[in-house]
Amino acid sequence: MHLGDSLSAFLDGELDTGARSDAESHLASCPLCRSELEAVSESSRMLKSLPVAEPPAHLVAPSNVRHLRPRRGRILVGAAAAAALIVGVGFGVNADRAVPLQLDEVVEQHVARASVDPGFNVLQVQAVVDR
Amino acid sequence: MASSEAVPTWEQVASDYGRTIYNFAYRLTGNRDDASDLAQEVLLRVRRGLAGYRPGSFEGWLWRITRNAFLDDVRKKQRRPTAELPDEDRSTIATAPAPEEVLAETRLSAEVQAALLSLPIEFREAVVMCDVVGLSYQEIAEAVEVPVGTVRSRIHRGRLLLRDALEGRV
Amino acid sequence: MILAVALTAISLLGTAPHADLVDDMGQAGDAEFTARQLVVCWGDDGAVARVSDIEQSDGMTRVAGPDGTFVIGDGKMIEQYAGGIRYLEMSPTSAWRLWDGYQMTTDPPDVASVLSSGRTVEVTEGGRIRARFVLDEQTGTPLSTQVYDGDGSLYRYSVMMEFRPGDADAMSDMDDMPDPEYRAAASAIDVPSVAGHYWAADSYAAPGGVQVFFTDGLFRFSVFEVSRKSDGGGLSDAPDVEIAGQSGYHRTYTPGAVSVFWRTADRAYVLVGDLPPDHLEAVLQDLPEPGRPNILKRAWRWAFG
Ligand SMILES: [Zn+2]
Repeated sequence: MHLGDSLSAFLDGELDTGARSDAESHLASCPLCRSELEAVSESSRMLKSLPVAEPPAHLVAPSNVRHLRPRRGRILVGAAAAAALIVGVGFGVNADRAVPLQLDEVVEQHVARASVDPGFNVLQVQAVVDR
Repeated sequence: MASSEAVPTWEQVASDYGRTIYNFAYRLTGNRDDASDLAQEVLLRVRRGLAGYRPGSFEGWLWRITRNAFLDDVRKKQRRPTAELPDEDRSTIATAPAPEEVLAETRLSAEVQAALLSLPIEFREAVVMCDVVGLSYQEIAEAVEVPVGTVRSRIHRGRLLLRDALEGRV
Repeated sequence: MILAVALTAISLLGTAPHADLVDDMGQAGDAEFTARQLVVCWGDDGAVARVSDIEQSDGMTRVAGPDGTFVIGDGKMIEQYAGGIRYLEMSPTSAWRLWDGYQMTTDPPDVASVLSSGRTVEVTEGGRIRARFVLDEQTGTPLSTQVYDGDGSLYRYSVMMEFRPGDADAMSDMDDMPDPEYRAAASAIDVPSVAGHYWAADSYAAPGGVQVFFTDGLFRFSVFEVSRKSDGGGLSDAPDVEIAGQSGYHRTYTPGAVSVFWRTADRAYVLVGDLPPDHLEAVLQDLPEPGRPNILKRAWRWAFG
């Protein structure tokens, strides 16, 4: 029995603990389900990274233009991340020496240092790739 | 979440959810004007419906209204979805500093939008509610008025269809 | 894969002296392989997942991402992007060690290995599961990694969907390497030397501030102390969340790391790391807490230093 639509539920954190560990064991041994999981996670990732469309002003009060939906709030995080890539704003500890802080540089410097550690692993590299 | 406790005012709904409703409508229709009309209609229905609303799952209630407004609209206009280059993507091109990167990103999101519009409505709404709006399976089930198991299978099949549609395009 | 090696070696700790342990780790860190890896992390906002192609040789790991190609290892971070190559290098002197709060068990009897080949290593903390690794028998590479939150729920899961030992070239196409940028040692002002059970190993100058690197040998994070005017590279737009009863934190997740930004009365902080959520909670309680600027205190500092 393959996992089928449980794969999406697994990805979305919609499986209970028992079903989740069953899914993990199955995934670890079934290349078919792994590639299907890969396909749905790729689709999901692309939908989540669609840019946020700005509604006309009459639909949203101006003070709420930055509202983040509390539960998953994915849309706006993506927008924020995109904004961060386009303009890295920020200043050094010495306010007169204005050095922009960019999230990717911060993550890269962390991972560079972490890679000296014998505990370094690929998950750390993922942090940079998927900043 | 907290929304199951009290009945929100219309202003709260408009300010808290206006943007999300608009994005939901935009991704389902692929068209800014339609999205704007639809979001307007939803807020109107919410205003009419709030008086009769009893505390319960507010999210389920709100998204049921949104989704029904969308379906009514589709029936009325027999809409043929259009996959135009989205407006906000155009404005990104105008202001962003690294043209090739932004262009690549814009092309990608236009492709994803076009692929999305090629999905049958029940799959399209399921994946948009899940991945764009961020609703839980339970909330989607309440909005669409189908069992959670059906939601799960629509999301999964919708994502696989989306992948197929995108591969066909590349 | 050095982590795998570390764990493998640690499980032999009873028989091998510490110096041999470090030698073993260095040797097996040179395993060559190509792989396709799925990483899923369940943050408070839902799951984030990523599939990547990985190549490792000579202690360097190459991963191709949407923004370019990264080759990382041994303190070097080489980023190849449309505009060229960026090369960052760090050479810390502090020695690696493992927190004594972890217990390691190899092939625990009650856990059936989910992969056909491979050895399971389980890490427990206070009797509770913290991590589980399935290691490739030959190279020690973790074919599957599971990291658990304090309540026993799965926090991060990774699996090698394809794994081919041997014949890799992580440094291919890296011919015209520029000179590396080095990071000088520096000191943070308000960052303590211990947070939760993690210790500050070393600290460096960073763009816009100072980086303090914390580790417990298994997980690690950096705290960047920057100007209060900083927006944390856009992190200030992330959802404002309450952590351990304290509001004012902005947090986002990638499959491999959590990032938190907050402002205190005097400064701003960015924390980036792979630590699980309950550890993060404990750590944040020991770091400067979110707050509004104290005008009087600032005036006093400005006037009297
Ligand atoms: Zn299967």
